[in-house]
Formats: sequence, structure tokens, C-alpha cells
Amino acid sequence: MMERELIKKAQAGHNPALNQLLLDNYSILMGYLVKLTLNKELSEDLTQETLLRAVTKIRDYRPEGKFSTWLIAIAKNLYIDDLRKNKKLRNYQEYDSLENTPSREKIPSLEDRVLSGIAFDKMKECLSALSAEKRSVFILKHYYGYSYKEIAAIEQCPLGTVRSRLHNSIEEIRKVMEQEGLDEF
Amino acid sequence: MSSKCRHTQLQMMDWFYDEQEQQNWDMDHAQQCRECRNYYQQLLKTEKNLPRRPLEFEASEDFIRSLEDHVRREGVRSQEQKEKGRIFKELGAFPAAAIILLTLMGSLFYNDIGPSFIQVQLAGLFLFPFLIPILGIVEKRRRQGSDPYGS
Repeated sequence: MMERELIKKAQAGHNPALNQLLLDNYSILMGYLVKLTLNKELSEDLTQETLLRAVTKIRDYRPEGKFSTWLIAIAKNLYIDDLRKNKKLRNYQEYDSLENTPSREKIPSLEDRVLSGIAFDKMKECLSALSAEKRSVFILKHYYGYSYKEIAAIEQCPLGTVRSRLHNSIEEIRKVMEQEGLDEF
Repeated sequence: MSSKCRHTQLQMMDWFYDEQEQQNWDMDHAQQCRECRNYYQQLLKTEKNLPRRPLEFEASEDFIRSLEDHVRREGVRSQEQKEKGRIFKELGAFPAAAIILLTLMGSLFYNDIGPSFIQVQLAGLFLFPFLIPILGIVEKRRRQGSDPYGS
């Protein structure tokens, strides 16, 4: 069933449609949050909170872009709130849970696991060097291919700021790659 | 970084991330400027070192169950709210209609019953709007009392 159709049904109170709509977007939301928070447990909590909030607010949603854009915007705001609340308690860069057993992740082959393990390490090194705002922009563009316009809507900032943050992210990633010897090209 | 370099690098980035179909940057500058050449190389390195393949996740059975439960509860709650809203409107409509009717009757019997009856009707008519916020507060409290999610 098309996403628009599911949204219409969900807004009309059709529970199975709403369930399907949310579960269809689970992976993208969780993937985004894992990269943004660099913490799997926190990502699970935020994913759950985001989806529950989406259930409550589904009638207010205006389908202008992709449904995932709306969910990511909610998730990002929840993460920023969480960062503010726990600023003094947490240092997200010290989290080490990406290597933890991925209980909800699809079970990959051994080769995939080795490769993705290396990719995870690199990703973690690089992304942890960026501020939350820059990291979010970089993830949305680099991994999910959202347009500048969509990212500007999610981040609630001008398009120029999106470009600037992405440009700065690439610069900062270059420095990390050089420092950490990840520069293998 | 010069503004020329920044502009060139932004153009490279736009092209690299499919925001522009063509390579719009100044090729002469890009070939001569070491900083811009390095930036282009960096875009390629980022692509190589951080593959764009998104992570795949599947929701656990427990998660799906709890989500379905929440969706169902939320559905019931919104249905209840709708019902309450309907009752509330009906409750509001009834006294309004009664007052209008009584006022009409009062005006018809004005000469026979006397001015005091009409005064009571008019007082009721003017007092009714003041009751609306009070009824609103009562309804809000009832909703809060029946909200199991605390939202």
C-alpha cells in the first residue's frame, strides 16, 4: 500500500494502517538515531518515544514530504531535548554501545559483520567529532540522501545553514581521518 | 579560506551530493588551487571510508506488540474524547435553545405575566456565555482525570 494511502487511513483512525506506517519507518528512524546519538540503547528509547508521539499527533500531520521526514524531525527534537536535560550527566562521545550485540538488527553474515564492524569504527570516530547539529545534517545527506530543502525543514534552519554545516562536517571529518589514520584512499 | 575557494568547494559538494546535475565550479581554479583539489579528494575519501549504505534494523516482537497496544489505546482514547466533545456540545446547545425558547415565550406572555419574568429570561440569556468557560474547565479536568498517558 502506498505511503499516502496509509497516512490517510491512519488519520481516519485505522489502527493497522498506522501500525504498518510506523513499522515501515522503524529502520530508517533507528538507523538515523544510532548514527546521531552513537548509542544503541538511547536510540531504541528515542525511537520508541518518537513513534509513540507520532501515534498521538498523527492527526496533526500534514503530508507534504516523506513521512520519515516528519518522524526524523520529531526524533531530532527529542534528542536535542534529551541532550539539554542530561547535559551535565552524559558525555555522548564516551558511549560505547555501537559494538554491543545488535538485538534488533538483522543478523548479517560473518563477512558483513567484519566489514560493518570496521565501517562502524570509522563511522563512530568521524561522527563523534561533529557537533549534534552538524552530525544530523551530515547523516541526513550522506546516508539518507535527503535534499537540502528537506534537511532544512527537519533542522528548522535556512538552506544556506544546511550547506554550511555539511561543508564544515566534511572538513572536520577530513581532520579526524588524518589524525586517526583512517585516511586510506 | 578565500571566498573563491569556499564557493568552489560548496559547488563541488552540491554536485557530489546530487544537488546539482552539472559540475558548475570554476575548473581552472579547481585545478590550480591545492586546497580545492584536496577538498574534492576528501569528498571521494568520505564516500570510500563512510559507505552510504544505511543501517538496517528490525523492530522486535515486544516492540511491535507494545506499539500496537499503544495505537489501540490511543484510538480508544480519541474516540472517547470525540464522544465527550459531542456530549459537551449537546449539553451546551440544550440550555441555549431552552433560553431562546423561554425568552420567546416570555415576550409573548409579557403583557399577561408581567415584566419580572422577562427580566429573569434576559438575565439568563446574558449569564449563559459566562458559564461557557466554567464548563470548559470542568471538561478539561474530566479529560485530565481520564488520561492514563499523562499527555
